Amino acid sequence: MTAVVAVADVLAVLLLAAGCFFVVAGTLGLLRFADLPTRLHGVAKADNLGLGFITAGLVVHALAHGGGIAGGGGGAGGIVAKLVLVWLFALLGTAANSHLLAAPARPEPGAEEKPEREPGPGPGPETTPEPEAPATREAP
Amino acid sequence: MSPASVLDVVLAAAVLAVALVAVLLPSRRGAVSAFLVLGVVLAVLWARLDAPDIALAEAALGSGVAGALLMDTLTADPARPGRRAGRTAVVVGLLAGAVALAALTVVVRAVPDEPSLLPAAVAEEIHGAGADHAVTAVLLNFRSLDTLLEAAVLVFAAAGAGALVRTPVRAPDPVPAPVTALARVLLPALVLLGTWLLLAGTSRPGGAFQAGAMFAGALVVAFVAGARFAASQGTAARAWTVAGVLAFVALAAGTAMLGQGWLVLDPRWAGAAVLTVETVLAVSIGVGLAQVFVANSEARRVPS
Amino acid sequence: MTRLELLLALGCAVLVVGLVAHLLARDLVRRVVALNVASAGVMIVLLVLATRGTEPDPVAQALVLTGIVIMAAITGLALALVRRVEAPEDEEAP
Repeated sequence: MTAVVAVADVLAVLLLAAGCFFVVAGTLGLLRFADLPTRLHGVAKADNLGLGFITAGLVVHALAHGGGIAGGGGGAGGIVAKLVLVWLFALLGTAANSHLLAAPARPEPGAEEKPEREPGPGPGPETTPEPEAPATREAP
Repeated sequence: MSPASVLDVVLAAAVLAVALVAVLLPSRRGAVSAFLVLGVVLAVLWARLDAPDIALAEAALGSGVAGALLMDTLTADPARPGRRAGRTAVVVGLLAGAVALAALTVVVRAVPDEPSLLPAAVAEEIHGAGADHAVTAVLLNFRSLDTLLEAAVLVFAAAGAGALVRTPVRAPDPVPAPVTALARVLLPALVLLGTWLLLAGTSRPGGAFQAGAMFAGALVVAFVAGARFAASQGTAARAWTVAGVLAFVALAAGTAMLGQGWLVLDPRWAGAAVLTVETVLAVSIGVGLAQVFVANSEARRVPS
Repeated sequence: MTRLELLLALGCAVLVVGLVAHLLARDLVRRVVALNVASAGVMIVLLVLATRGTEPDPVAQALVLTGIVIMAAITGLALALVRRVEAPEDEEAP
């Protein structure tokens, strides 16, 4: 039994490390890519993959060690279900946010191809796409 | 007390660094983004400090509701270059800050290292308090006067923000398709989560405040998705906003006249009373915070 | 240095950073952000003091929970005031 737990721990650490790698890669893309669509591309894909790996790592950990308090008394099953739900909601949120942020930047069909924003040398936090943007739409 | 581990030091450094970034960045957008990051780092710190209730509330209210409000300000108002404080003001401010920090450090170090007697007192009285979870029992029974006044503060905030609205609030129209799709999934999930947090709060982390934040989130999502009921600032919304205080006052008056004194709950019906007040309070907090948000989205509009 | 001392110092530092920034910032939104940072410092101090015993102190935690709700509500009111102050008509007013 302890050997199984040890293997599961190693697997969980590997999955978490892989998840961290992809999240860092996605953040790098957010900071270094030139314009809005490529930035969204980097963040939406890499971060969700990273979050998926982290979720998988935590699921493995929960299965190996039982749910604890976060399992809500239901053992590992409850916590696994919650983790998967968190991941699914994050996927949904990213999809909707990316669409909303990218839609105004998309050139009209037939219109002249024009970059939304001039590629800058070192974009700081000022140019970070805001995840909450859909909640901020003004009434006309 | 255990010596500081590496994780504690890293976490403390992260909190301080993000706090400094949040106040030092000159642009509004940068400051607000850093504040959102601070909320995430703080939630980790709260979890580390054995405070899951606070971590939940921080994620839902400190980062969630306050973050959404701050974000909304960004897109509504183009950031204008703020004037900078004069050099004298900066020097005086930094000196005063250093003195205040030194004084505060001396004061908090003088706090005795022994644990306070309150946890033992709570553990002694919790049977018959109406909630098995200690934080909920403190909020709704032992220190319910605090909670009553807090609900009153919320009413004042909602009334104040509502008073700044000069045009009738209208729900956004047209609504982008992804917002509608997201709202269809999020609304039932948020209502379910809020109800669960409310009911679970009697026996484990959760409770009226976290549930209220979920209800507020649901109403804000409905408002953004164009639902007319969420944009309403009519009588029903106002009634729900004050309902939390009124329920509390009714409980206080009832216990004062018929029971053993102001807000003294009899163990026989304490559970029912706590859950009833909590439910009204959660909906009240939800509607109140949503009112603040809706008022914010209209407060800058000039009457035409 | 124990964890208690480290995190108490952190709480004081965050409180002072927020307060000084709140008093020095001219931009109204940044002032609101700074006030939120200061309140985070107070919460850190209270929650660290709550961990002195074997069980976390529920009274201090309830106090902080109340504080978080009040801070969210006050932030909303403050931002509504900011918007009203910066509304276009007020700029043109004599």
